[in-house]
Amino acid sequence: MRRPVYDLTQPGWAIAISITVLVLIGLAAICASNTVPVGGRNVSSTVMAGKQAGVAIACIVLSAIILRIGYMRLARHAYLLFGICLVLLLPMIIAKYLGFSFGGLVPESRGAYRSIRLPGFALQPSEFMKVSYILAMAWYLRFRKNYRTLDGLFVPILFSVIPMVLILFEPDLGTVLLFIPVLFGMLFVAGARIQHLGGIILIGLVVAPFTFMKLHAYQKSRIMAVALQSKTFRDKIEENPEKYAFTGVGKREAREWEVSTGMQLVRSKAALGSGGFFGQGWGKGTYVEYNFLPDRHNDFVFSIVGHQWGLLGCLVVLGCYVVIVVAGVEIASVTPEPCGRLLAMGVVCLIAAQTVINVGMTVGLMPITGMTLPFVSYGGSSLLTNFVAASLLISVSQNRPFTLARKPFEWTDRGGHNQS
Amino acid sequence: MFEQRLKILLAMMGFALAILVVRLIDMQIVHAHMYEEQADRALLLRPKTLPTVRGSILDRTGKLLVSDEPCWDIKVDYGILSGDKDYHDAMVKRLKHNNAYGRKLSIEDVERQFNNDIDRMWEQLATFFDGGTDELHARAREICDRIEAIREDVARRRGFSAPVREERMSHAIVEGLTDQEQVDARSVLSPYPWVEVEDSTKRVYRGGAPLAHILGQVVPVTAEHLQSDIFAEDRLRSLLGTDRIGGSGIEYSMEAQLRGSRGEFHGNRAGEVLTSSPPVPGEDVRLTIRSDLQSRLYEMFGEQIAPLPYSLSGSIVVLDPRNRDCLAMVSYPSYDPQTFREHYNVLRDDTRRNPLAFRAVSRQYAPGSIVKPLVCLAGLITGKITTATTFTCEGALFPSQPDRWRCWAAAGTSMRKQHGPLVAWEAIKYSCNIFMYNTGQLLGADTLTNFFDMFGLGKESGTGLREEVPGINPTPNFMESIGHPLTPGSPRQFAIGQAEVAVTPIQAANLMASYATGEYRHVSLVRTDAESPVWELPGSPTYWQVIRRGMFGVVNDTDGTAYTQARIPIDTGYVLIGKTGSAETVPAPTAYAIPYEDTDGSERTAVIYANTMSDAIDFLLYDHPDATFDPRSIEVAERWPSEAAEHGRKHSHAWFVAYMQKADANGQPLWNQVPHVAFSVMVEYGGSGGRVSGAIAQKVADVLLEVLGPDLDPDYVAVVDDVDHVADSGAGVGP
Repeated sequence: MRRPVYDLTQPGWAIAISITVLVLIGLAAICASNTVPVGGRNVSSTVMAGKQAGVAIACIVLSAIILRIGYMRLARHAYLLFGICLVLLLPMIIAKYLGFSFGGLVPESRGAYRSIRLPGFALQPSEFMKVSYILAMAWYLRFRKNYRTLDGLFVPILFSVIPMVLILFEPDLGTVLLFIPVLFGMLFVAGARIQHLGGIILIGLVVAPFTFMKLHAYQKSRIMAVALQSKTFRDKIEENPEKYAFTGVGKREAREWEVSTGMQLVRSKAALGSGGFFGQGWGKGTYVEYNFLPDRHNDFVFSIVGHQWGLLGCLVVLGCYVVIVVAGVEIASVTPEPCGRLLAMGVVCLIAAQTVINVGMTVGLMPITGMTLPFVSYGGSSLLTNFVAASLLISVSQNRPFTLARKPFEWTDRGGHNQS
Repeated sequence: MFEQRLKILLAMMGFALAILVVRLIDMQIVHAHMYEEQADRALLLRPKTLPTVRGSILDRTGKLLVSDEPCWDIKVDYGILSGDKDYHDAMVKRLKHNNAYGRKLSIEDVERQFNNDIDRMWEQLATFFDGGTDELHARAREICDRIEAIREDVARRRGFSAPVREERMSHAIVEGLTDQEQVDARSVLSPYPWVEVEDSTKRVYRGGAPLAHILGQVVPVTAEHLQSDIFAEDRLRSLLGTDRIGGSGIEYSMEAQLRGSRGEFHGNRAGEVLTSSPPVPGEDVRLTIRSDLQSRLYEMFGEQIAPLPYSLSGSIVVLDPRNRDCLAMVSYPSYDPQTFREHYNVLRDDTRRNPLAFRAVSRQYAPGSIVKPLVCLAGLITGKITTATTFTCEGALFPSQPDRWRCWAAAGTSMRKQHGPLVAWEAIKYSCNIFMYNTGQLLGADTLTNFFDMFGLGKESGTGLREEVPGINPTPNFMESIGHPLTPGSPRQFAIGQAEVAVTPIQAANLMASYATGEYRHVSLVRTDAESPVWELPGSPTYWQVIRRGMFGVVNDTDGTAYTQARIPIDTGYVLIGKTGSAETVPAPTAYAIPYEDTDGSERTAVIYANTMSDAIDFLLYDHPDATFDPRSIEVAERWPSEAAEHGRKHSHAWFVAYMQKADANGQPLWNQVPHVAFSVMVEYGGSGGRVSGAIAQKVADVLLEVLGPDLDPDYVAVVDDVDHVADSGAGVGP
């Protein structure tokens, strides 16, 4: 029983309206300044906003198509889509390690190979990987219960590790780390045992310090940025660099942190903090009028939002995500269809994790990881991915078959089925 | 369980949200003020420094001699001058990124174009420069060497090597463009983003050659300058590697006053001026020199020595005895300060004339007879002789040894080969050696050098010029230190101004000024309000009158040593009171022959123009850094004067020191008037002091009368009142 595309459910409408608000806020943030620096050149902001709006309209059309198709038909081909995305990741690896750029099709940007350049726009396969991964996971987990054993966790984890490794080679650490909350979120709601998940997390925590040692210096310093905001910590490093050698932060970097590696974060916080409660007003304020904050339209758009519209604006943005998350959880809760349930929760986890990491990064509570703010940040691939994810979520909400059977995944850990 | 897990997950997300919201409230409400300040600070522009102007140098009458004048400089990035690899690569990348040579060029093509552009730039720069591209490249090398030295110096002090700010600056390679040239330069050089044409200042020297030594030069700052910067603590006044600093003359000695203080401008991007301090130009320096007098004396000196056989050089120093202001200080020959840099090598290699030497203060000569009045005065004051003490000159001190300790009269062309019995003032008039031998003997070296010291011998005269040398006062300690202990004959030698004793022309003039006033002061070259210290010299007016009468006789008595040459007409209202001096000397080396072995093993001999052997070695090593040679085989290749003096006599430098005394209508000096000018004339290899320098002294007096005119007239309250006339004290005044 499918509803017409325009006939959204109650949570569907809530999600759609929230997304619209977020996209509009993103466009307003782009228009606030006259020009947008792109790759060392200044491009008129109206051109950029027009481009973004165009992508958004294309996304709406795409969403309508997805709603028309319905998530189930897509999920049936989940493995195929997953495979295609994996194949699309290969050119990046080839370009990076074999030096073959497919005739300039895979350009280098800041030492990383993340996109395929097509006429008019750049495609980031890792973005599409996220959605196809959620779809594939939901499809894989929907009727099983073997992941409630430790051995059964092997396949879902393998599902995650393959794209993670490929994306790690690009390298795009931020996207890689995003798979972890999505994986754990989906396994958690699907009912994997707490002790298993906890055990894996524990192993992860034990391995983390060794992984940290293997990271590049710039990656280390980005992670250390959370601690380096403290002047006392920087002073300690400066006084005793040998003792803090493990941080990968040298004496000189500690001394010059605020104007070198920490500059971005310092400015992001200053932009947010100086917004105050009501903000500086649209198009006003130091960080809007002058190009002090790199990436202010993509990764750091939240700082600009907070700068212009203050705490109020920040709460509106966060409120929109709360609406999406709560609506998503409601959809998952109501939907009896197992794949849809998992899919819904996967999307909720994806959007929530991106939001928390991105906002946490701009306020200095999370490492700076090149994560976009869903629906708000400038960038076609990111917008497209999140629209596809959201339309899958709405699509799930449109399929609420009436059923008397117990809801799927209502396991009890004592064994047997629980009726609650 | 699913619902439960959903709730748990929702709670976890809610917890994360709560943390973020708390953090946002903390930042945007609690600490909003702090972040607002940060945002305001972000608006600040980097403080901009505003260039300042170096002070001008004026002469005594306020005439402008040196000033900073606006001009345009062509500056080139340090990376281009040094050919730095990193700069080069970064520039190629930038040019490629900007598609400076068109689109779709490979990095190699861009690099080739870039290299071509650099070569073309040098050619085009040369069109704005007289010296050609080679000279330009040499300049670039000079700049790079200087900056490299600064970098090394800074690295030594910091403990690690890091780029200095001068390496990120552009440096003036062609200086002093006019407005029209600037317009051309801009259009021609516009394709090169690493070249700038900037407004600047150039130092303009108006005095020409006569003032070149006194005014000195400004030079580009080196590492040593930065190290010894007097204003290192003053952010706006401290030196930058692109600055120029006084290197010689007044430019050097008055650096602290002349150097200005840069301005600073603090603004923000919103166009607000936060703080701004304008540049403070350097203070002007007012010299005591009369530039008109200086020029006239310089020209006159040149004309006067032109006919002399061996004399190419010399000096005239004119002082005001009352306060020792230096009115003129001629060092001949000189050079054109405006083209100094271009002609430096020629000037340096002209070792016969040595135009770069600041003779008035930096060359020391045996004073010869000009110390004789001082010797007599010392004898009188110490009581070793009286005004009536007579020594008889028989041509030699010991008649049994006529070849030793002779009087000049015995060797001279004089008809009488001896002076006969003389008292002190006569001995001065005739410049008799025998009288001085005896007096010097009675005084002893210790007392004599004590008196020399009182009159400023062996001490810098106080001009503050870095070129100034103190001369030599051969005190017993000094003689001990150079390994020539005093002999019984030493005081005799010193008494006639020979042997070790040496004075500079400015000391000689100051000595004369002291003879005139009875007090010793430092010479000043810059007018200040501060009163200079005065050392009253001992001796009763009677004794002083003895030496003054003697020196009056030198010029004005018919048998004085300079009567025929130096006497000035009575109708001028002045008489010259002076003393001749002929200081025996040997020809000076002007070139050295250094046999050396070149890197290719060939034996060559280089003839190098230099006045000292160490200079010659330096110059050889500069041209042939790898040459090997034996210092013992170096020979003097050329001397000046190249031939012996006439009549087989030794060469001598010709001194004449004098002051101008107001006289009555009969040519009798008005002793109670304090003279207004004292001067010294030194002609190198001039021969007889009276004949050569005396004649020039007469011309000096002419010029002084003409240029200073009424300024010479003593409307000044006399320091010496009612002196006992020498005649009254029994010494007697000749007709």
